[in-house]
Amino acid sequence: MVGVYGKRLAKEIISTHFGDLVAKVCNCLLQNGTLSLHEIVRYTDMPGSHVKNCLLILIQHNCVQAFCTPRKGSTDKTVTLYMAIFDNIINRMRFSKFLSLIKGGELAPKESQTKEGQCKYALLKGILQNGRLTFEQLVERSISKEQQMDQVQEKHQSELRACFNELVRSHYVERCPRPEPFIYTEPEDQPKHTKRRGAKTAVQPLSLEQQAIEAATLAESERFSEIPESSVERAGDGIVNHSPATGDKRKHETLETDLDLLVAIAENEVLWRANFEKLLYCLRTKICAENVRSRLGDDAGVVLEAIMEADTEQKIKATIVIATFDGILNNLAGSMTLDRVRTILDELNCKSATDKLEAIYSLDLNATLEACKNDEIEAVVKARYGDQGYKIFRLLSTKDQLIETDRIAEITFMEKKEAHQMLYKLWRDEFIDIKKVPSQGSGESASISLWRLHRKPFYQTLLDDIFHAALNLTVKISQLVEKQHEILEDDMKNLLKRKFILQLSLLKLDDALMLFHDF
Amino acid sequence: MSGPDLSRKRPRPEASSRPTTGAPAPALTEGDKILELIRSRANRGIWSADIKRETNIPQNSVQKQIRMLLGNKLIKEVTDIRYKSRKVYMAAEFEPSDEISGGTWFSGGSLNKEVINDVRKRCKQQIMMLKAATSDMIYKGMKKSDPNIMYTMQQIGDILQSLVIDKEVDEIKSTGKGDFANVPAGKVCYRIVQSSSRTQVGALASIPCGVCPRLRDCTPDGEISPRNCEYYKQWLGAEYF
Repeated sequence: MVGVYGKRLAKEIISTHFGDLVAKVCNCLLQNGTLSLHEIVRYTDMPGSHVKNCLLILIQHNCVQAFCTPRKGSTDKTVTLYMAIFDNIINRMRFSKFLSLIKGGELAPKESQTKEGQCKYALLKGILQNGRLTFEQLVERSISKEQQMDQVQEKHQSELRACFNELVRSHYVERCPRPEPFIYTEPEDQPKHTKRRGAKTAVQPLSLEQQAIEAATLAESERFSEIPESSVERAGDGIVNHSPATGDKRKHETLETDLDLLVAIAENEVLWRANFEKLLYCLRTKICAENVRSRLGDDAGVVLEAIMEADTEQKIKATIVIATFDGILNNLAGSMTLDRVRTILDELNCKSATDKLEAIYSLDLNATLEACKNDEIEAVVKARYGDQGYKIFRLLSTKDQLIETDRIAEITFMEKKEAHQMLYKLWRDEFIDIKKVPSQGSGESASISLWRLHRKPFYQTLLDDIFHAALNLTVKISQLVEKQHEILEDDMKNLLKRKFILQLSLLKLDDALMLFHDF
Repeated sequence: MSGPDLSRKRPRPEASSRPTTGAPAPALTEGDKILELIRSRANRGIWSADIKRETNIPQNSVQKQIRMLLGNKLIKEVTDIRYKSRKVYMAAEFEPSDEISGGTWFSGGSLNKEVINDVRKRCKQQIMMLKAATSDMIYKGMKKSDPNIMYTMQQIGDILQSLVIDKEVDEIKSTGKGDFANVPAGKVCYRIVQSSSRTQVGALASIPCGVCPRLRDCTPDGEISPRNCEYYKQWLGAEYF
């Protein structure tokens, strides 16, 4: 459930990237949910053609998904509805982080940049900047940038295809989902069957939006289907069919034509976009590895990265990561001995099992993710309440149970009165919970205060604060951008320096946002 | 001739210094009452208000008697760590209980930070030597290096807990391998936290909004907004706003 500030941040991002009109349409969908074109026009009070153009831009950039449903009260007519995809809007803040994932790309250290890395970087950058492109459009973009001469274009295109297919194989890029899937909705007068007979638990029906996303998503094999080589290129690569008979030769020519058709479709018609799920998974790997590195050492961080990269599923919300021992060793590329790897896997509390004679390790990321979240929260508590507040919060966070005031004062070596005051401050600001129990043997009014940290409601409050802070930073950056046109050249350097500080702070805050919202 | 000796005057009744058997004992003085009451409280002591209530002696007299007893060094004043503003009195022959004094870590009613820091340092030294150690191993190590230390296992446990809270030490379950080779697998033990882990600065805490007391009142277009925020001005430099 996205709060007020999350939606405002999304609106601000769209406004910065595409202007106020597009932001108005996007905000209408964020505030009112899924709407038809007619409803959007009514809510925004904008001309229909403007709304359409805005929707096209939002769809192009994967911020809106369209789908069809039967029109109410009609059996044969349909209506197209539009829904905002909040997560994809927020992902627009992360493009530089996504690009930094490309090894050997432009954001890598100069000495480790490679031609292939730079090529992949340029392709991914083009896709992120433009939302969705065909391969042909990517090639044109690349050629116009590098001003390639005609005679080398073919070779360049072949190299680009190889790099592009590598991106698809790694799942950084995917084929775009279906543009307007049809969702059948049950008529309102029929009761919804949410409970199967004999089932112990009710089956939760998917919301309309969830159904739309599911229906739009292509099957895995199609989603990451690479661009094949044309028959000419295969011949050039030495893949020649030595078919002697005439009938076979005709069949071979037909097959070649089919293949060329497939290549033409894949290059000119299929739209490609960035696969945010994979990119976020890679960012999650980085953040978890960094946390483990700081707690358990460099080797542990490297092994954790190897495990996460070896997981074949790589789902962003999955907290259990499963990898084969061979897969882990492949990713480590011989940088550690087997014994050292096994010791670290034990330290990370990985569970081992055997499947078809293959050793498999599973890692529960919950502990690491909780440690990352705790670091973030404890830093806020320390900054707001000082060392005393921090100690009390740490105690309640590590114990995860009800503790009496006196005992808290004892363990934290604090005066009882000070401990009491600090506990009330933390409770007033909704960091901790209180429970009063009657005191045995005392008067009616006497009671004992017990304290506890309740994580779930607290995480939601903190997430709202993070969205709010991110919105504030975005607004501040916009303010500095406006000032750029007003100030003198002498002051420009200082202004840009401050803008850079704000942008870096926003990138860092976004890590916290991913921890509490996306992971 | 025998008869009464009339030359003598009627005999005066003799003033006896010893009470005769069966006669009532003279009443305790106020000072005695108060001293007895204080003694009866042993090492827990008694608050001056409670003395007044239980003896029914007027306030002025109570205070006068207490001053005399203090002057004669029959009683002493102690600080009750739970109620610092109260005057608590104890017979001179008793030492305050842990409940009153706060225990080992308190001295004169305040935390004895020197003692606490010393014990923390010793615990960390033991953990560093052993790489990973249970509380039992740490305690035995400390006793071995200094047989004169008088702390209990419970007290060492409290100190270890404070080290965990301060993130100087990690409390984890042993794997039985590597650094944990000396600790049976599955047992709770302690390990020094790497310094890099301790110095992490949170993202939200490092910007003004993270510590702002008015964050909930702040809106982009409101009276309190990031555009005119004083904390941002200080953080970035005021000359641009």
